[in-house]
Amino acid sequence: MRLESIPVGSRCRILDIQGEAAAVRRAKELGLIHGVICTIVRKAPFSGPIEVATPLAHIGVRPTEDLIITVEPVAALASEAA
Amino acid sequence: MSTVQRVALVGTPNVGKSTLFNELTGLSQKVGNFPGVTVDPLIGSMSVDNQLLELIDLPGIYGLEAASEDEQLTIDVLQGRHISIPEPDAVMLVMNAQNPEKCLVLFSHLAGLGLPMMVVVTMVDSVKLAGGVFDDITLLHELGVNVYPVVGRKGLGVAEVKRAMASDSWKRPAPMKMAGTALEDRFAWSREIVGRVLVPGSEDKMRRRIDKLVLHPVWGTLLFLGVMAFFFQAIFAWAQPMMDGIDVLIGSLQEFVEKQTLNPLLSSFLSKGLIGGVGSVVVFLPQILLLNVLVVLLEESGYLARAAFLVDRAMGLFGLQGRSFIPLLGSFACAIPGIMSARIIPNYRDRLVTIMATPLMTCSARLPVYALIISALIPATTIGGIFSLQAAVMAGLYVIGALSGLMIALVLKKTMFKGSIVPFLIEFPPYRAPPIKSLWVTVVGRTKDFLSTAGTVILGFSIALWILTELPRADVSQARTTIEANKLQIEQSYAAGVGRAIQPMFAPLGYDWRITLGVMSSFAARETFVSSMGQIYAADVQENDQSLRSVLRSEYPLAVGLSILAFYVYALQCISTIAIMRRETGTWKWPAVAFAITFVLAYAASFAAYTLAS
Repeated sequence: MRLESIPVGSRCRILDIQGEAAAVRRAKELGLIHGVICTIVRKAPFSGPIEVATPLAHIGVRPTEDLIITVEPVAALASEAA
Repeated sequence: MSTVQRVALVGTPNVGKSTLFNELTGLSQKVGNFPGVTVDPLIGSMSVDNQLLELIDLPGIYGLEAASEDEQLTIDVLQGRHISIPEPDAVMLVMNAQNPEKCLVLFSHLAGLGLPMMVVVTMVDSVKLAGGVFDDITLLHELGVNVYPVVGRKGLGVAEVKRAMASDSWKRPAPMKMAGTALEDRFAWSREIVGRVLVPGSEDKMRRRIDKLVLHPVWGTLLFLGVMAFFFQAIFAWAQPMMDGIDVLIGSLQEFVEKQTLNPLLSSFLSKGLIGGVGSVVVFLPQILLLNVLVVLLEESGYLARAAFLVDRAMGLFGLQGRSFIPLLGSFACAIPGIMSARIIPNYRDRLVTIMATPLMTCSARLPVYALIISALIPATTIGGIFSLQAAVMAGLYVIGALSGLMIALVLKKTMFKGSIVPFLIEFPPYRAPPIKSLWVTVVGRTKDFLSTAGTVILGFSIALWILTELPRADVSQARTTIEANKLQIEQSYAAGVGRAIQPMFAPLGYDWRITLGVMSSFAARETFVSSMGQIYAADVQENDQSLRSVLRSEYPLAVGLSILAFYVYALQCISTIAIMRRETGTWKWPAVAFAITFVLAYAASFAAYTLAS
């Protein structure tokens, strides 16, 4: 499922990032890499950007057709080990 | 002795690179003046142990593939491929101790350049404060280059870095044990090292609490509006007393010169040309100082990234990004500080689109023109018995200007600046108290830069305008008063000649040669229209505001008034705006394009207004 469909407060694991090459690269450079577990902290109103917390950083990202982030939900108490 | 002389300062955005640069070089920095550069990097010179070093502050990057022109510049310089900036001898990488992962990925890219390096780690104090540990010794062993922790804001460790730069502390990185060169492999390598050098402290609870308020859909938006109102108030109103002070000072200097028994031509040149010209540059300083202080505070405190997060969606409707809000808002006070503040937009294309829209925001210099024309030519009636027609016209001019500017941005984004633009994607910086010394260095640097670049252009234009309006000298011996002498002078000036010559072009807009001349003279600053019209009609605008209004009322119909207003909404007739656009876009091309677009719009709007109303 897509990152934007994960509700605020839930955790998910990044599976894949597709889209425009530069956007995909930038997302990865910021640490949104396959396998990373992140928490959806908040969403700006009117489908604005989403704040995503990775283990070391808080990243603001607005998924568009040029940047499709596919994730899988992770149980709230899953270990950080992945 | 080290053989290193030119050092490139590199880092990912928001690692405290500018603060470190300011601490290392202080006030001895200047804007690098290289041909063909869209982003002027700052160059700082340092003298350490009798060695002269040059430090070049390059735009932030994440790797060696650029997502914007700004990043391309950094990469070109590092790879020695830039047309005018020479290749550096060494690279200093700035790393954030709180989130070193992406910094190490950047290190892995830079290591491939084969240049000697050193790593400076910032925010070690924040890690410690949160109860964590950052092990710089292990990092040194892992990377094979020297690692220096600093607390940039307090200047701690900076002296060590300086000494290291001058001594032989530059080393080529050790080979890295990576599975491959894909980003995923680099991250795997980076994460492994981070696991060994960093024990993260507890989560910053303060930050979470502040974020909860600042990014709240309702409270956060209200706070944003409050902060923006404060920002606008500062450059619109608080700069005013200082600007008035400068006006008074320039005025008394001019008076002093005019009282001396000098050749009338020399006297006019000194007073109206030179002192007036310098005055038209200096008058911007209060706004520029205040603006730069506020912009640095917004940026360094970490608030700007959050504000951009909140308004990204709204600005996106017009092809702009969240940070475009500040330059556009600032331009309602004056386009000069507005355009300067576009530097907060880290991407050349986005910056350019924003800059193109700024002159359409109704600046305070248009107000005296609007006030004069509206009070003289718009009937003082009410709409529906409640709303003043004059006030409604004034409000309408603001709305039309702003919407037109946003539409221009949208059209440019869909046409000339089409192409791959990375969507909103940022890392939120931590909240920080802005470092005072660094703030001071940046503000002084930008002010000096304004004076030496845009300032000289404005002065040149001002003197050219003086030649047009004050030459050739008219015979004013018949004049009984100064007002009459001024009227005689302007009627016989080159400008009046040009005004009469190009008047046929403006005839479809309903302008006679006088209005044409008034519009031309307002290139100095839009409000000059008022004093020029006063001069042309020998009406003393200073002492009796009423006289000019009644003259205009008896001379021109409503249609001409609407036509003038429509022209002033659009036309980019302000030499200072043109000069600052040239400075901030790095070429004359964009001010020329903006001038052309706005002139066509101004002409069309005036023509429509005049034709419909008459």
